[in-house]
Parts: sequence; C-alpha cells; structure tokens
Amino acid sequence: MLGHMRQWANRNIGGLFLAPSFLIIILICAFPLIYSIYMSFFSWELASPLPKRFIGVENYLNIFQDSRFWFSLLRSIYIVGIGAILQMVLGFSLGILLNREFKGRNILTSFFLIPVVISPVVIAFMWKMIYSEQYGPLNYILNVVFYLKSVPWLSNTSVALLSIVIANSWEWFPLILLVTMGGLQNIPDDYIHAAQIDGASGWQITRWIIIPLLAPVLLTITLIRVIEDFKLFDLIYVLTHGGPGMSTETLNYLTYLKGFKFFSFGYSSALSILQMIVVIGIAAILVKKILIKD
Amino acid sequence: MLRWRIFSLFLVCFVFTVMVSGAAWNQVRVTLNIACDGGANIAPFEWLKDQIEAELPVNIVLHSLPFEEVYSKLKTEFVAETGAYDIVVFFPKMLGDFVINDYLLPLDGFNEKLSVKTDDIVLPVLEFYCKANNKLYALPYDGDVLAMWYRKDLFENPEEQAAFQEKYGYELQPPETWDQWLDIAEFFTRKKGENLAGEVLEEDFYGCATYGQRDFMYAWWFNRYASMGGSYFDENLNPMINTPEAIQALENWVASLQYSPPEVLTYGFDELQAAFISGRCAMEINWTDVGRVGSNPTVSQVVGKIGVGLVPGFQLPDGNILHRPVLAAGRVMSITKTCKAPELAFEILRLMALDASLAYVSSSYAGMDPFRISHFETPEAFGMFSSYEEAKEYLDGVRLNIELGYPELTMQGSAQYMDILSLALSQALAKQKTPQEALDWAASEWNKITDSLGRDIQKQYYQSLIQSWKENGYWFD
Repeated sequence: MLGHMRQWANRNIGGLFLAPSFLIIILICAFPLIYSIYMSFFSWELASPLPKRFIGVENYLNIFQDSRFWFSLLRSIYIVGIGAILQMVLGFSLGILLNREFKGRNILTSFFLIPVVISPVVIAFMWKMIYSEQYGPLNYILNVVFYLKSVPWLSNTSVALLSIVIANSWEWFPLILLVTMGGLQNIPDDYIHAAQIDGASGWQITRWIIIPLLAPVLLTITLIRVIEDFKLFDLIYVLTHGGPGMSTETLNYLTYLKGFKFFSFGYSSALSILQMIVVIGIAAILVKKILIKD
Repeated sequence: MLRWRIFSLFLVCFVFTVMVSGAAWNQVRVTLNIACDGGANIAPFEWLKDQIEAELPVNIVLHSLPFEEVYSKLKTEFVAETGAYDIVVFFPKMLGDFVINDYLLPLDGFNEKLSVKTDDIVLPVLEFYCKANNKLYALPYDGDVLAMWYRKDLFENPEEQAAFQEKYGYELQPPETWDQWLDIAEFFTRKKGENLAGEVLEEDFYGCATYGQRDFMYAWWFNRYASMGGSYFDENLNPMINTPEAIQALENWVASLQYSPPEVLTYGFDELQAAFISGRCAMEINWTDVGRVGSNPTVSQVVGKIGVGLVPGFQLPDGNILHRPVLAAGRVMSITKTCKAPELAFEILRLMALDASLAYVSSSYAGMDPFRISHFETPEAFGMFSSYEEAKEYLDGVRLNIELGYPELTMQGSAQYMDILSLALSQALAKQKTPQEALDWAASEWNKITDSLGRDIQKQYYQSLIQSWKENGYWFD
C-alpha cells in the first residue's frame, strides 16, 4: 500500500507542485474571460437603471452589421501590418549595422534603446509636440530644409493613422534591434567566415545565412509586436482620441469607447471577444510558421 | 524614592491622557474623499483644504481626475459601489444619469437647515444643472457658458474698417450672425508677410478658430443650430439633429474651417484659448476663461485688446436674430449616497458654492466661472482686469450670454448622445462624410441609444426637462 502511494506521489508530485499556480492562473485569466463571454450575450447598459437582459447572439449580429466595427478592424490591421514592417526593417537593419565592432558602439546601442524604456504616454506627448503643425520640429525641418509644405500630421484624416504608426514604430523598433543583436551573437563566426572565403557578398551573407538563422527569433518577436500593436491604445488616446472623425479609431479604441464611455458592457464584451479571436487567428498563423521553421 | 514614584505616576497619567485624547480626536475626524477634474479646476479645493480641515472635523483627500475621464471614472466607481468618493464634482450633463441610478443624495433637506442662498444663483445654473425631478441634487462650482471673443484692436482699426466696408458693403463690427462670422473670418485671414492693422505679419494669421475635440465639440455646432430654433428631439423622442436647419448649421461650421489654423481639428480648450491669447486669430467662441486669462500679461499677448460679445445667431424668417449660446460644461458638486458624513460634506459644498466662490471665480489661476448674481455685480473683485470698467464689460458680456443660454441635455445617456453627435460632426469637419450623411448617421445612432436605454423612460425624462426649460423661459416652441 505504502509502495503504491509512493509510486502515485512520484508520478504526480510535479502536478501537485504546479496546482497552486494553475489555480491562480484559472482565477485571474480564465474567470474574466469566461465572464466576458457570458456578458457578451446580454444587453447591459450601465447608464440606465434597466437590469441586464439576455439577448443571445444579438450583440454579435449588431457588431457584424456595424460599419464602424469593420472600419476599426481595418485600421487595427493597418497599424499591425505597416507597423510590423517598419519596426522590422528599422530594427533588423540597425541591428546588423550595430553588430560590427566600432568605437562608441555600446553608447550608440544604449541610445537607440531609450524609446523602449520611456512610458508610452510620455512618448505620445512628445510626438504630439513633434507633430504640431505650427510649432513642431518635424514641419519646421520640412519647411526650412526641404522647402516642403507643412503636413497636418494629426488633423488630416489621410495622414493621422500613419502618424500613429510612425510614433509607435519609433517606440518599438529598438526591441527588434535588441533581439536581432542578441540573435546575431549566437550565429557561429565559422558560417560567416566560410561564406566570405567562398566569395559571398555582404548582402548574400545576410540573405542566405543571417536571415534564415534569425528567422525563428524574428518571427517570435514579430508575434509579440503584432499582439501588442493590435492592443495599441495609449498613443491613440493621447494623440488623436480616435479622430479626426473616426480616422484613427481602432478596434481596441472602439471597445474602450463602448465599454468605458458608453458603458454598454454587453456590446463591448462582444467586441473584446471578437478582438481576441482575431488576435488568436493572427497569432496561430505566426506560431505555425515558427514551428515549421523550427 | 517617593518623589520618583509620584513623578512616574504623573508621567504615566500624562502619556495615557495624551494617547486617549489623540485617539478620540482621530475618531471624531472623518476622512472625506473629493473627486474633481484636475489642474486649475481642482485648485480651489487645494487652496481651501487647510481651512476646511481647521474649521471642520474632517480630513480631506483630493482625487484629481483627467478632464475627459470624469464620467467614466465616476461611473465606474458608482457601478462597482466602491464608495471611493464622498463628494463629486462633475459636468451637469451627467446629472440625469447619476440621479436616475440613485448615486447621489438630494440636498433640499440640508439646504433648508443651512441655506446656500439659491436665490443668488443665476437661474439656468440652478434650475437646469443642479436640479433633477424638481429636487436639488447639486450645488454649482463653475458657471460655464460659451461666449464670443474678438480682437477689439482689429475691429476698431480705421484702415481695417474701411477695407472691410469696401469689400463687403457693410460696417466692420463684431458679428451678429453666423454669415457675418464667415465674412469677417475670411477678411482677417492673412498670410505671413501681409499687413494686419498696419503691421507686417511674421506668421500666418487666421480669422477664427474653433473647438475640434470630440468631448465638447457638439456645443460649437449647437451654438449655430440652436439659433435656428433647433432642438434635441421631438415630443416622441425622434432625433431632430438631421433637419435641413441642422445641415445648414453644420455647413456654416465646415465653411469656417478654411479661415482657421490648419491643425484646428485637434484643438481642445487649452489649444483654442492659446490660439486667441497668443494673437493667432481674430475671433473665437470659447468659455469665459479667455477673458480672465487673456488679461494676464504673463501668458497673453492680447492684454487690453479683448472684446466679449454674444455668440452669433441666424436670422429668423421674421427678421430677428436669435442668439443661443450653449451653456456648455459647467461644474456642479454633489454628495454621494455612500458618503460617510453627509452633513459635513454639505458644509464643504456650502463653503465652496457660497462663501469662497467669489474668490475663486475671480481668480485667473482657477478654471471656474461666475455663477452667482453677486459675482456679476462685483467687478472690483476681478483684479486681473486693468480697470473696473474692463471687468464690468467682461462680466456683463458673460451674463448676457448666460441669460440667452441654450441648456445642455442632462438626462441619462447624455454622454452617449453627445459623443455620437461629436463623432458625426468631426467626420463632417474632417470631410469624411457630408453634413447630411454625418447627421443622418448620428440620428440613427441616437435612436439606437434611446432604444437601449428605454424609449419610454427617456421620453418621460426629456419631457420633464423641456417643461423645466419652458417654465424658466429658456425654451421656445
């Protein structure tokens, strides 16, 4: 009997040690998620004294018929797509450049990392000043150096979303840079030397050795950035409040408005569930790619 | 030895007495949490905190909320029943929501015991912003109204007057109508290097500026629409915001953008005020802070050059011009249902709304505007103006706008209605939609909001609002 108990304990001891953490995760992750799904089937208007009312999938049907949802989803995809490309190009290129030995490399690398450590709200205010049409340095440079007209960075519907993407990419490309530099340290020098002896150019080494070897780590960081950019809020809140018009209203911002401005909890829960499904969909594609590469 | 024992006993008794009395003192003192939007708006509470704590057995904890988050922050705390705040300062448009959901204490009983001299409070502020269902739920803290601010020096310049007369065929004067507003805005819009009142401009100058952020931009449209007799709903709660007059009002606003700074659609209160007091535009509609702050030479470049006037109107078919400046924003103070010491809280409200009010409404460091008749009759208190006459001119101008004011919607759901309307307006201003498309969309969204909140309850509440506005002479059929 004692032997059986010892065997059982040996088999399950890991599970027992994990149980408390597992329980906490269920409480703080699973419960809110399940509760959100539950709420998404109700009409629950907190601005009104009316009690919450079960309406089935009506919130979802209303959302699918709402052009505001589709446009905000497109804007989120725009931010994620353009943002990922910008961050990747900037971060990867600078990572390659900074991987060489030269005087002041460490200082320069630390300098590039500054945006990541600043609070996003501070960054948003900083960009608000940079984008100022009348007094901002960006327009000043355009006017004085390039003799170009001022750009209404935040007040023009065609430019405002791109302005947010630029500010967001500036904040986060150093993360890609850091990951690239870390990944480059792990590539054995032999591969590079062998390629150089074979007469490979710098571009060929990058294209055929560095990129394939860094692909898994770059895909992982892209996945993280995609998820984060989909949830982008602070920059939009400070820079444009979703405007002008609805031109910078993303799905995440719309969910915030419905939930915490209009207090339509059922509708905003349904929006957040849909947002989660979209993010999981994109993440699944990227994870699949990462696993194939591995 | 005996002496030591007596001394020790005395010492123990002394320490015990101090501890007990200290504990008793702390027990009778109540901590009251006050929530108000931050910066210059919470400043009066900060100035008076020590005085209140000295006079009343309370410890004050001030919670500074972001201007745009007042509703969501308060509502979240109310819904979660946290009891986080004992006194709340908020915009009157939220009153209906807070009253119907039973978050606030009625104040009539307190007022009977300890009068706040309600007969001295200007009528629309008391009747529309402090009362709901004929009960007093709030006391005023800030008596806002929108007014027209213009550059007196430019309007009085003989060269500019002559040039205007020649171009438009009538005398240059502060605009009476919104059509004149467009003419004057066009006239004063000049490029860098051109002349303005005899001086060469070092940067572009604009005829006007406007509010562009979603939180309060609806008021800039209602200034126009209300002066055409526009209303929020009809008697069956069908939205009246996409009528031909509503479209015309929006078209007028859209047209004015060509004479405004290019980044105007990002302007909130601070940016709009800055555009005027830094001397970048000839006129704007804004809250009454402009007159006080614009008289402060440390921040203003137009000291002594500011004129205040009635917000323009539209000419009615009978030839009269109707002026309806929107009584936008304002701030009121209420006691929450969960307040730990309502009597003490009311004494604080009374101090702020009565005894201390003149001091802070007449300060250029606080964001509060006059709301008592006595405030308007005490120009000498407004020391930021260079003379009594200048202060009087300011106060008379503000009062005139209040007396013709157009009441804001204060029923439940007002925040939602106005946010949707502002969204539609901003789309039209940003040329994403035509005025007709934008307002049709807003009207359909208003119907959805009404249905989700309960059409019958909303109708009942709106009708009681209209009745109150009519009884007090602020609503016409």
